[in-house]
Amino acid sequence: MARFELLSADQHQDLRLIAQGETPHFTSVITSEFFEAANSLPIMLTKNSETGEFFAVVILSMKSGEPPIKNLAQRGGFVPLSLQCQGFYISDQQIAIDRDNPRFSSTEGEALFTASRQPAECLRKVQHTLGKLHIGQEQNQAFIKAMTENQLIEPVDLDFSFEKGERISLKGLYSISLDSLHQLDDAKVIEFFRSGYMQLAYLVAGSLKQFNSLAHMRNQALLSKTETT
Amino acid sequence: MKPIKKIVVVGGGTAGWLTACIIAARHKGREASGFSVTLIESANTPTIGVGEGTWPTMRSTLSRIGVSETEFFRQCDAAFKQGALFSRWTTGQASDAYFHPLMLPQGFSHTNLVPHWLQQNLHKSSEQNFCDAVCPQGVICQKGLAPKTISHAEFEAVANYAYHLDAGKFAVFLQQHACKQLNVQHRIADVTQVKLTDSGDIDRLVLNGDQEIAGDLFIDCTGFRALLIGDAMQVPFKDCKDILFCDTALAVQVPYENEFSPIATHTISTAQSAGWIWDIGLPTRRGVGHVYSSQHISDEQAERELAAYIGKDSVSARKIKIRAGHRETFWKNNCVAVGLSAGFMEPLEASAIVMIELSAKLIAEQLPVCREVMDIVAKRFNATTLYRWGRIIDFLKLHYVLTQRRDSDFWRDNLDPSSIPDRLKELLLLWSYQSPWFHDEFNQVEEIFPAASYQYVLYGMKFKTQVEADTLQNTAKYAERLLRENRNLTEKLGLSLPYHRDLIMKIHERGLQTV
Repeated sequence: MARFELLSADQHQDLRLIAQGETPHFTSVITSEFFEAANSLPIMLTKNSETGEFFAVVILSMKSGEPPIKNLAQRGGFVPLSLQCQGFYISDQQIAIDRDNPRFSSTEGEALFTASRQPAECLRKVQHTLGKLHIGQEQNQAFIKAMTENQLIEPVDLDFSFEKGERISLKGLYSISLDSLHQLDDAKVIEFFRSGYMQLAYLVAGSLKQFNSLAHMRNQALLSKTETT
Repeated sequence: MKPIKKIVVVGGGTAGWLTACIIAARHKGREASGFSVTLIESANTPTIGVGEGTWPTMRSTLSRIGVSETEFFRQCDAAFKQGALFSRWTTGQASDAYFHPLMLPQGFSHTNLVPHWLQQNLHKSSEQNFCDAVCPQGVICQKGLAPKTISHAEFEAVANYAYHLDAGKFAVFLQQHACKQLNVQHRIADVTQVKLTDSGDIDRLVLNGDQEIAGDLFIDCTGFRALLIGDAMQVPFKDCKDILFCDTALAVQVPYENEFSPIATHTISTAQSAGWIWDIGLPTRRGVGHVYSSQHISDEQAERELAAYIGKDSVSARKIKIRAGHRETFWKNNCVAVGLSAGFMEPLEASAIVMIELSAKLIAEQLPVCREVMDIVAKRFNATTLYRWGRIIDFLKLHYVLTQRRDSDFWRDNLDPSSIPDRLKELLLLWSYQSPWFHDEFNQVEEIFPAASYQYVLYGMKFKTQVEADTLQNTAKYAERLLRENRNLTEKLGLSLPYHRDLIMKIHERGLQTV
């Protein structure tokens, strides 16, 4: 369960932040991250269960509860902004935190506030990143709206077979349809090219191939585990 | 060769617009070679527009003609329909009710659960009703939950669903779609004369006394007036009031207590002394009506029963005469009837709109290429449509013959053997020894009522089928599993689906995705 509190120097003077939280199954990304993300991870669209609206995510593991398949080096140092801000939220122009997020500690990590109750460097970084995310959300929504309106989003069936007959199917994921993209009329193609949406669309569609490397690496890990036991 | 390219639909109600949309969508892209659909609507004829319940077929129909489900919800005051609750049909007691849901029983294509359920109930002191034992939808309805969530795409479902809608708004919605997206030509005029050729085909229609319109195929959607199929083509009407007695309806609209009142996600059909009352929940109001036999009660008494149902002292209802029956044939020469002009039965199983969809789909798909082959297509269309009306009559009558009510002449007369079709009598005898399932008694493609519907009504109304225990051994284990899976699914859906009104509000506000 989450326990939200507005962040304040008075209340959280002694709170410390652990640099890296738990890595989830997937995490949201904004369009300015697509370039870097697509190099190592699949960028997918999925629906917000409250509103039904699409948002963009990168897939970090094949199953929730499993550690990320690619480590930081294998991701070329890419840490999604949403992970950098894990535990932090924006609520009416103020920063809120989920007190129950395991990133927060009273003993480990860096202090959020200095002795003079000013935001410490780690918090300033988070503030900066939250700002970027906030602006990025609007760009994401505009991109997704353009994709939706032109019927470029298609559901993707992802079924994987692993060692020992394990099967995993990922549900509720969507990508950009290359077929539909190629059917756009010329005017739209130019519009999307100029606005950068064409490139973003290709990044999303192309990053689907990253599932191959994720699945391969997970399988290798399973195999080496079997050999050592 | 005389090609069939100019389709003329007469009538601007649900039947006319739906038929025009289905044909135009199926033949989209043929305009360049001269194909056209024209709809002629009279400014002087009011539409009936009380048809407020559809079948799940409407999902594929809407999707096929290319409308947005989100816009449909927003503009037609539409709600989800997940079946019907039949109240007081079996014993007449207040506690007597059963569901006819739209989902098939678990594992329906593999195993018939009826004998297993019957066998289990033999050993139990309190019986679990058939619907809840084999499918989750009765519970979903009772909890007032929607059949999907906001993250399901348009027309996608967790639980099978149809719609409740405002028929007047629906006709306008279809008209806009037909004219804007499907190139249907719309003419507002009265047909004053029908001119026939020597061979008896319709050659042209005279509009407003002085204009003419020619056509290759004329579709009669003029409602009870049956301007073309009846007046011009002289096709007789086959009455079925000797089987189904209801001949009058009183319809009213009932407001909700407030804008957050729950919306029923099923039609509620409550039996009365000489008929039954429908209760259909739309987002903005309920549509309630009393269908009854004027041979058995007076209009005044029918009105009193309707008022009592709504909880008022009196009502001012719109009265509609029902002529139960259908044309002897539906397609004659180059004229085919769709909608009320083809036939009508009391709306107990919402058969009116589905018959429009099925007929229009059949016309659209089988549309004869030229006049030379039209009579062959017409013959097949007539055979299929006649079969369908026959099955509707059987299925509606089934609700009346299974009753244990003897409290009025209406219910007693319904059991008179002379009022029961022979085919239905035979089936009832057969079903007393073996339960209906899958294709054993059902041989037509697109069977209008699937065997599952018969199961829900028969065992909802406590019909007894003998079970030979030793015939169940083969499938006992699998049946156990299906029943268990159904319990799990019922629990899971009960926890995960949103409330019906909440989902509709969300659809109005946010819309459903198309994928």
